[in-house]
Amino acid sequence: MPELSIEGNGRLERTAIYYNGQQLDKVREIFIHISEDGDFDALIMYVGSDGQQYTKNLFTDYLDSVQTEPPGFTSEEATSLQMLTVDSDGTLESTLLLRNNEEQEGVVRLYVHIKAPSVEEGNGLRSWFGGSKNIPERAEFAAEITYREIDGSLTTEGVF
Amino acid sequence: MMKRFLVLSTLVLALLAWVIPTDALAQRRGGGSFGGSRGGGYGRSFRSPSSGRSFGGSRTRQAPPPSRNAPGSNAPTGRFGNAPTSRNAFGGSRMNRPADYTGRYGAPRATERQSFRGQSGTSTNYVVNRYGGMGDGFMMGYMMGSIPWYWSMPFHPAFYFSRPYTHANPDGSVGVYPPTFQWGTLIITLLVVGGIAFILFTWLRNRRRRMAYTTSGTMAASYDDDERPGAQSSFM
Repeated sequence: MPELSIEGNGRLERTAIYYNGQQLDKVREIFIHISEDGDFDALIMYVGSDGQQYTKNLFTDYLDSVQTEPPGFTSEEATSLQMLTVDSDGTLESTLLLRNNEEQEGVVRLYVHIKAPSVEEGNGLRSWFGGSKNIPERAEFAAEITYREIDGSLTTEGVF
Repeated sequence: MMKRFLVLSTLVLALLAWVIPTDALAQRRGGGSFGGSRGGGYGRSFRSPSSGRSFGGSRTRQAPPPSRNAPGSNAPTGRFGNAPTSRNAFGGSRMNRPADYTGRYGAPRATERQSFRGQSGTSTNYVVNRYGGMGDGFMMGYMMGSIPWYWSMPFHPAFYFSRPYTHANPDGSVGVYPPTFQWGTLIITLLVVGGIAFILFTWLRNRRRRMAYTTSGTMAASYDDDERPGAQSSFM
């Protein structure tokens, strides 16, 4: 079963994505939305080793040409970071959620959206004639879990 | 958007305006200083020289305007290759009479008669009016019959001067006045060169910017710490 881990401190500059234990590189965007209502979206967008941009389902698709890199954090640094792990085969029933290696229970909703900002392509000659070819995108960093407490109330917590 | 449109429009206009005088000047680039033979008749402006020389050439078909020549004189009519006796078809403003020039630039510092012999052996008398300065040198260069190619290049001062002004004297000689500085050519050249420089600058700046990013056009490893074996961010 694929396992995805996100380790970081809430800043994009210090956020590592691990897929089955390997740290991924050139990730553009991660979007996970899993709720007990049946929503199950788990997407990753990355730039492959061939320079192409890929959008894949994290738990059901094969990550073509995905780039990896050695782990960037030492074990000492990792102690000051938060780790969110999703273990799933793409179905809600088999999905396991862990925070700092602790299994979570009573999860109503998991929402993770981390996106690197796009870069302006510049005001080159082409932009004179055709205008800007891409729409600038801002960085996104949202990661929260909604729990159902014992008394039935809902509590939302940020992960990082 | 409006700014880009204006920049583009200016560049296009400048290029067009630059090409047009260059085309005209190309005729003098053909080798003859003043454009070659006069075979076209009275109403014709100059045309490209076929022999590559200003003097001589096909003057046999050319008849001088009767009203401008003294009766019975056999004054040579070849003169400068493209210098009609009554009308100046050189680049720059026409000069119908010497007063057009002297009224603007004053009396010449020196005037001297010179005779140049063409290839066909006929000589032409010129009344050379000297005003000093760079224009004088260019005028003599034109009168020598051929000019170097780089006179038509923007990096040479001659590019920014008109052709010499001529005027047919009643005695059959040709009065020659120095070329004058062409501010329009300078401004257009500056526009064109500036436009090209701007395009190059924009291209280089974007190229440098692209070097910092990946080929996908997105942010490069700005989150990567290259001094360490592993990056502390998976994002790019």
